[in-house]
Amino acid sequence: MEILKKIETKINSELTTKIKKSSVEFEELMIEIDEKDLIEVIQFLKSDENCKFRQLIDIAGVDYPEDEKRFNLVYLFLSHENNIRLKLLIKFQIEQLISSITKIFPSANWMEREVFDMYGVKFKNHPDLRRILTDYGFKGHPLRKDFPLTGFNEVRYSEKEKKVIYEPVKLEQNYRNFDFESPWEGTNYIKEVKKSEKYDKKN
Amino acid sequence: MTKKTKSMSLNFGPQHPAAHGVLRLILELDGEVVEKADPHIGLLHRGTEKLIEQKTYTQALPYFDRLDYVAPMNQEHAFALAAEKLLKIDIPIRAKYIRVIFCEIGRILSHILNVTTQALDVGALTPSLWGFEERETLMTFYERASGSRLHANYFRTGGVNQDIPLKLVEDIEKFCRTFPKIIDDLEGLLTDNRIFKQRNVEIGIVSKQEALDHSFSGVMLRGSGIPWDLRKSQPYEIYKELDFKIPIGKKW
Repeated sequence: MEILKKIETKINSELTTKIKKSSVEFEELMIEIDEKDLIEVIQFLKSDENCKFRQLIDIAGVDYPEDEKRFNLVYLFLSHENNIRLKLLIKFQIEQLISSITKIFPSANWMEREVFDMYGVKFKNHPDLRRILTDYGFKGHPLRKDFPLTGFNEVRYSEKEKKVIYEPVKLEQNYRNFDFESPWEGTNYIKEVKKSEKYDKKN
Repeated sequence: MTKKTKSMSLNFGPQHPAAHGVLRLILELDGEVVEKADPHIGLLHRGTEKLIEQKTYTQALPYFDRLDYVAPMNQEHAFALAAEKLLKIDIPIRAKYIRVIFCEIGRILSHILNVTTQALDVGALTPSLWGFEERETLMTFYERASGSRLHANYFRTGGVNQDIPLKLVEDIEKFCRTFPKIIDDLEGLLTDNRIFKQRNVEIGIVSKQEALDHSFSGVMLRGSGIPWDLRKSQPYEIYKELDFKIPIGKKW
């Protein structure tokens, strides 16, 4: 993994002030920058003779509701020539506009649309910023942590109206969490039953 | 005399046999030529990420079968590898071999479906019938290892669910001996077939630059002549010790 270190020092020396943090963890290179330097840094990573990150693999959003800079975007790059990957991290507030990188990497078009759809992050100079995966007329951004797992609406075909209709979610069974700390302790309701038994004995 | 033509916009899908699933396209047509297409995707979106927020690693694994039900265990593998990397787990050598065997079976499953249904789309019925027979054999291997043909839920972070029976290993080897004949048969049906060539040769060419710009990976990159395969360039499991060749597109 020497090449990773080499690229890391190279990027650090070229973009000195723009790099906020860089690290090599799990044999992967991670760089944190300010969101206003995004275009410049990505342009450099793509065109520099030593880096040659010619491919954008994905753009991933992350939501940390308790942080002041609530959203993170992670850009994943791949360099075939050097056979290494790079993660580029930016942190920003909810209303911040992020520059679109569609001009540098055309594939960013749909990726940014997905981030917009899932997190509500808005991109500057994006040619066609529409929702991509969710339903027509969908409201909210599903991958935000404050979006409920079950969503708000459910659809069904109504025999009466002869069309598909939207209704508020009504679950026949509550969501059950099967993440037990110990397999021996059993489910919660058993604990509750045991508790109430003890309670009964006391009385 | 020139005739004035008007482009027509047409809705394709979401349900259409040629879409092989659910895909809606808003097409702008000039005669038979598609001038513009606006794909509406996500009709099969299952919210996998959102669901996994609430799950443990082991509980999350079955969701990956559903992401690509043509090669389910390969998807499980990607997740298992990622989780193992994060947790710094080294898995037993036997599990590595089992995983690689089933990953390769998954690849064959996927490629058979791809090639034969492509032939089906351009008008050849027989390849898909022959191909699906082999897929059925392969899915029996899946079933004998995991208990299920498609949604295997077999890999785990840290290995696999359970060991495979010895007889299964023998049968997989037997399959490896008989299967190349089927590939030859399929090739005999397609490679030099006049109709197949008329409808495929020089259709949908992707240049090297386009392949990079649009984030192609795997087979699609190699088809454009870029030598890139994770099994060679960033080998995982036991691929480093295996001897195999990878074909790369030569023409463009």
